[in-house]
Amino acid sequence: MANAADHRYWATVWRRLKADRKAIACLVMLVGLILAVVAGPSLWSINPEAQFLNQIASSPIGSRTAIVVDANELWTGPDKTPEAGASTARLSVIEANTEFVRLSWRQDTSAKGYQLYRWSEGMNAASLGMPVAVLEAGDSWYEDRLNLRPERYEYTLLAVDELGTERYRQQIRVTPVLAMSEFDAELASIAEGETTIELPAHPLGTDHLGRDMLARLLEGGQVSLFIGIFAPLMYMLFGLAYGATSALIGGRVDAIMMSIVDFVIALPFLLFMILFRVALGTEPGESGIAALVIALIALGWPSPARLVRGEILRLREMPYIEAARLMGAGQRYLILRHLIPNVMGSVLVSFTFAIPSAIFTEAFLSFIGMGVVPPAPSWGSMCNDGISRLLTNPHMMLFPALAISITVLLFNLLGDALRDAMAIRRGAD
Amino acid sequence: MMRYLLNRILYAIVTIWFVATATFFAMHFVPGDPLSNEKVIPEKIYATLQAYYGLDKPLGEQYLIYMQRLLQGDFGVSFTQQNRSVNDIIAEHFSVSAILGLLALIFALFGALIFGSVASIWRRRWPDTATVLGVMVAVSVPSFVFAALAQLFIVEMNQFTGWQVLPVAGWGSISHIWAPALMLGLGTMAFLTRLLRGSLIDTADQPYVLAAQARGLPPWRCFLRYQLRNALLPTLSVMGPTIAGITTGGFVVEQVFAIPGLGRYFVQAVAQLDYTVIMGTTVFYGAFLVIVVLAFDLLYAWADPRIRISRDMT
Amino acid sequence: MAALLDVRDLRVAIQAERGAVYPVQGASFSVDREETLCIVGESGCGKSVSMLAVLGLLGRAQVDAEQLSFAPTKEAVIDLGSCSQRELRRLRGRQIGLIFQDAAAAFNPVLPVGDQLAEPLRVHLGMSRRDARRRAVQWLERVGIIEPEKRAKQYPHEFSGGMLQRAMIAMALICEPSLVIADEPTTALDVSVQAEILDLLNDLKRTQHIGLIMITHDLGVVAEIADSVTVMYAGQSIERASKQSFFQNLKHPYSQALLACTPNWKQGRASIEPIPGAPPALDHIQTGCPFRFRCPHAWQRCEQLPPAFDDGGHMARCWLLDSDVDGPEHRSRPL
Repeated sequence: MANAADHRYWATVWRRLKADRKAIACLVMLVGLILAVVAGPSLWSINPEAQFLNQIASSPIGSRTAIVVDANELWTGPDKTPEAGASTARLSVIEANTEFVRLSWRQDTSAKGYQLYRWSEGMNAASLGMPVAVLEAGDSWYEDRLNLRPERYEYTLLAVDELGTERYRQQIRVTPVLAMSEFDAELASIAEGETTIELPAHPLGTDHLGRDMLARLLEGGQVSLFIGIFAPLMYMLFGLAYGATSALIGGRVDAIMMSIVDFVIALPFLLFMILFRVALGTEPGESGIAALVIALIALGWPSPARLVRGEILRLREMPYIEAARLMGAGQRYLILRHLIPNVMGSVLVSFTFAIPSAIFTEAFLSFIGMGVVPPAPSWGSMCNDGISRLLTNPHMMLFPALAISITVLLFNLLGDALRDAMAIRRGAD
Repeated sequence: MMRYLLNRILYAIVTIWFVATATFFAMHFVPGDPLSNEKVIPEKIYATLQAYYGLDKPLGEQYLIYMQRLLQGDFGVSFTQQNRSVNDIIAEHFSVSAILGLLALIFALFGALIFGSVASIWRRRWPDTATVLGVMVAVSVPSFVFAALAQLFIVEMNQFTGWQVLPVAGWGSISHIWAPALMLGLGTMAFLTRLLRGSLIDTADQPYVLAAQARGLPPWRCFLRYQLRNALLPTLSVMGPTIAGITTGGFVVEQVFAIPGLGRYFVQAVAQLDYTVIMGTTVFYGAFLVIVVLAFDLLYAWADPRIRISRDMT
Repeated sequence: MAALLDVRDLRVAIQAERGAVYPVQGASFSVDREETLCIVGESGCGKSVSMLAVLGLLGRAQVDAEQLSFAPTKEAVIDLGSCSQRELRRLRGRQIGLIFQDAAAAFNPVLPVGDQLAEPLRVHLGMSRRDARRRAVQWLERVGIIEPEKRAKQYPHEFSGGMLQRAMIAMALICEPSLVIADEPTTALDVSVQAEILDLLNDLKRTQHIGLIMITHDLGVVAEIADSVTVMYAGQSIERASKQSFFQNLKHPYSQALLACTPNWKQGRASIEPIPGAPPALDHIQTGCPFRFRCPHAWQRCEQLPPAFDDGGHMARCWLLDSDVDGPEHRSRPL
């Protein structure tokens, strides 16, 4: 067998990897991804915590042109009140933008009062939606200023009798225009007298608090990738040292050390991740990243330790190691020259697979609220924010989910390719 | 075999003890106090409660009491629902998780059997390519994304058909089970499909399969009794970790589909720092997984005569 | 009367990922009941592939032959080339038994040996479970396995190599086929066990009235057991003869070279002359004599494919045998 310590071995692995076009594409994309996440925030310099209150949960493809309206003006009903007296209250929209929606209707003399409901996408289709106002018999208009967004609403006006029982209902659909109040426009130092303005661009839209998704995705990527790469790196190294020590000392020490490995592997992983995460605590203002990394290391090291020990025991039986020993090679020489370089191959492959699984774990924990603490973003916690708004704002879930999936897919493909490229050794054994 | 069995059982018991001890000490590192969590309680009541839960004793004594109770199978009383024992809570919520997990496992196994077989039989042709691609995607997408997509799909389907084909979330009827179980099983299915496809391809080249064909056995018999039967052994050997994976996945799927399983309850208990529930659930799951892994190891040893008999001799 | 198995000009093409392979490019052989045919050649010369092709076990490979007939009884002559997979399957194990080289790998490790023996009986002869089981035990005893009752319940890894080969032979013969093909049945065994297995096969050939095709690369085995011999090289049959005629007069240079590299202990010392070079790759169809690259007698004529020169039942494909050859220096060279 070709001795892996030989530089030719790694050269061959590298050559085979280079010949694999898919692997190189993965590698390039991963490097690009890491660069983007590291350098991205300085190129896309929007503060990920800044809230754009005019653009709450705006989708990436929505219009950015807003009209400037005088939101402070006190509205006293439409200029021309529809005449009262007809048998039904005909509901009409006077004006609809995201600062206010103004509705009016013809008074119905027989009605003793009105109830107004607002329904939007994502609410129970059978319901009328959210109750907006209860109105007197004499009212003929209403101004809705509650949390308006540029999406389709359906207003329902119920005409009720003295007992509050429904007599009939009127419905109207309206999509408010994106608007900004004059006051906000002034604050944003936009020239007075402008009737429309361009709101800041958000290529991936904004979240439910009006924060820029791209900026958050980049910062969240830093968190997710840091946890995903650093923690496995640490526990692979520790596992390597532990497994090698155990295999080389052998005997009773080996047996005891491996029992400890068995015990730690037996711990229910996710429950202990949560337990450690809670035990290590998060003081107010902390992000929980350190706690996650420590918990991952504490629970992750046994698998590589087992792998390394097995590999070393297997390698020690190989004829060429035997030959080296017979020729008088010292233990130290054997370890440095033969065992460690040979083991590095399998360690590298399992490291490549450990990264996506750590990213998964982080996403998992953050998703159930046991991982990275808000406001620090991570792809998992962004998914958690997104899932409750899946129906109304699918982009909030889509982008972080895509980020996780693509990253994990790339690492998985790279791991497969690396394992194939290393397979020469198995063939040569 | 007897000796091997006893050895393994003894080792499993020691492992469970380790899990219980690790849980106990990890819990006592948790900052904060379960009793003075939210509301301020008068000193006297506080002392009474401390005595009630045995928190006034030194740590060593608490540990002994805890162990003694564990030996009797008693996980104690919940901190937040003072009239309920942890055993009751686990019994109630675990049955939900177990049904969900079992169904997910069945989905995963059936899917893996079908897709793995199809891929290996039509190797390098489109059914294989499609399976490999599907597996790659399914292992790279987190389960909560699949769960969310399933919900979205159900909503659309219900809207499109105009009546409730499947409930979007919740628990209580058969129709509530399908979507979460399928989503929970998907990742495992992908993992097992990949494994089974690989071992089916390996066994296809084994001389005993050719020998079976040379004896004129019908193709299905060659496939089932010779190829598949041997290819299933590696699958059996990973069943322990697989079940652990499904249990873990359950945490998220229960969360998304609002299913009152033990995973979801555990997450709530952690948020409320309900000490006894956290400890009880962790030890329970730990013991459960140790037993499952042991059971499948033994089953594997039994299913592979090469191992079974070599164990007999020692 | 037709021979039990008569194969003429068998050709196999396999479409692999990296282009086509032609492992068999004109193999001819025939065997009768109670006759032992030895097919000799180096590894990779298409011996085993020819056998699998005859049995229809090559999957999607393309198999052609001028003649591919099998006559299990005197009346019925079956054209194997035009049989459906289903019909072939009914012949395999029932009329044609196959013995593999590595018995340890040819048994399913997770089924008891007795079950595997009984399986063809149940499939082909529709025997009940109990009858099949009894017959399996009988056969184990017949091939010389002690405590057959106990052994039938054991798994393959509990058998020694020689015992597994015996069980394998029992499995091939259990449905009382008329033809048994043994693919290097003794190569994987100890020398002492080899002789026993050969004796067993020889006995069974006589008592069961079967035709036996034995694939081997060992001329010693040929001398011991064969009635007739076919030498294969690069997928072609290059020499066919009865055993006597073959050993008296090796006509093809390859056969001579093969004999020269077989240890000959009779002279008191081992004289081995290895054949230089390696067999040609089978990724194209040979247009000349395939042995010309390694042949000490090779000359211009060998660029053409030599036809079969038949001399009273002793056939060889070599231009040296052509009476019209005008190269005197070649003809005068002693063979």
